Amino acid sequence: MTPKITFPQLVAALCDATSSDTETATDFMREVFDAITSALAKGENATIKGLGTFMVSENHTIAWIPDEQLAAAVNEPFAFFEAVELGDGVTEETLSAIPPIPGNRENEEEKSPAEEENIASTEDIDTPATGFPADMPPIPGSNSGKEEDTPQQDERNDTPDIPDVSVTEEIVEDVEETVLEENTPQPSISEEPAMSNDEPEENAGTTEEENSYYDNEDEEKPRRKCRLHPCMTFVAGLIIGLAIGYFGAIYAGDHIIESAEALDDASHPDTETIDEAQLSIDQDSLTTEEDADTLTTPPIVEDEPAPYLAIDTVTPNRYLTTMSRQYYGDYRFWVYIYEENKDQITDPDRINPGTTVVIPRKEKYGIDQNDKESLARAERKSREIQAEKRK
Amino acid sequence: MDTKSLVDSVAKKLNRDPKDISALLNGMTTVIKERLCEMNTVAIPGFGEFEPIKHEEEIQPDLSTGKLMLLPPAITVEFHPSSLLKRKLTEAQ
Repeated sequence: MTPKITFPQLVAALCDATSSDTETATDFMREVFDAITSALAKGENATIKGLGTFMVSENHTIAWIPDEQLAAAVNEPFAFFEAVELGDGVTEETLSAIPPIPGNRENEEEKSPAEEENIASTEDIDTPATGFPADMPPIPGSNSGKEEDTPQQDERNDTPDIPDVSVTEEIVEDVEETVLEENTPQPSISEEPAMSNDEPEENAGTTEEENSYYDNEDEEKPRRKCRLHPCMTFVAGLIIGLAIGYFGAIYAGDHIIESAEALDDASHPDTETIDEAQLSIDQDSLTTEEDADTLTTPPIVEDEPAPYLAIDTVTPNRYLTTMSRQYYGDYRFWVYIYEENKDQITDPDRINPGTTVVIPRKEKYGIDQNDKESLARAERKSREIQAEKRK
Repeated sequence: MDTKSLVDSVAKKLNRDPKDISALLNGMTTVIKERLCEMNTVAIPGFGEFEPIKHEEEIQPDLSTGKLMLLPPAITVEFHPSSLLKRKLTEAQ
């Protein structure tokens, strides 16, 4: 329930605004609303500039249409945003089922601003806007090969019977199994179903489902094409390909390093011996084989966790409340995103599209969607920001 | 009844210049607007309440096209007539 302004408070504010005395202001306001009441009692509508139109129906129901300027002023914090058309199969449950993910802007940088406007429906589902979940297994693959697959993979997302999240997981499993056989050539679109058929028995169940799924896709393909905007299909496939390529590069890189290490161990034993001798000269403690092996390979430094959760970009369809809901589970924590980016956001209600914002970690501001105190703090912060803005 | 007739009616009752009443009316609407923008409910005794309500973003089908639309959050103002006002209207009609 919002705080209530009483009649005396309203009169006091009117006196301050018009430099009139309390008695005059009180009489005036009473007469105004009495006049409106009289008009409504006669069955007439009452239109007051700056306030709105009061109407009464035959069954004595009173309706009120706010004045345009009044409505616009009240909705000013959200006047910047517009309604966005969603793709087929996207529901609120689907959007809320997507877990928050850490930021990674590499994939987003390749998208043009025009594409960003068209992928509102698929962005949240098919590809995280920034980054990938920490617990998501690495997806091997390459960029060049997968872009050809986008039409088929787009069709996967079009099937209404299978949720898009599970479809993405199916794609992950497929690509993993494909890259495990290093010498196997990059599958083409036509070969993918066949390769999945050749996999071990334990995958037979899912393979059959995928084949039948492909069959169903073919039947529905003509129909689907008519319903989806071609640009959205292409962009969705592009995003999927980029995501797979990113994880594929990571997995392939790790695999190559491991292979290189194995090759070095097998082909250059003398090098290890020399390294041992060198190391023994430098440091007495580094004389064992294990130590030499360790030093021949570059030390693996664990990346320190980033100081922020993600980096995101404001668009006409993606605002601080949307990001807050995605990363923190509740739209009210948008105040902390604003707080973190205060140096480049002068007005949280008017942020230019394309503005890059840093999503802070939850621990920094004590963000917890399940904690009432945390939610209450966020709401207080929101009111403070709004009050500060209006000063 | 429009704004002009309201101003004339109130000016006549209060025996004041219509310009003064018009200025007071502008001041009143400005004050009400400011209070509503601060997410405060404005209560007029014997008349009703103007309450600002925050609507969260939601998915709704477009009635004209049938396609699903993601509607952004919005703040609207709702008027709740008081029981006294409703009774007055019922008695008058």
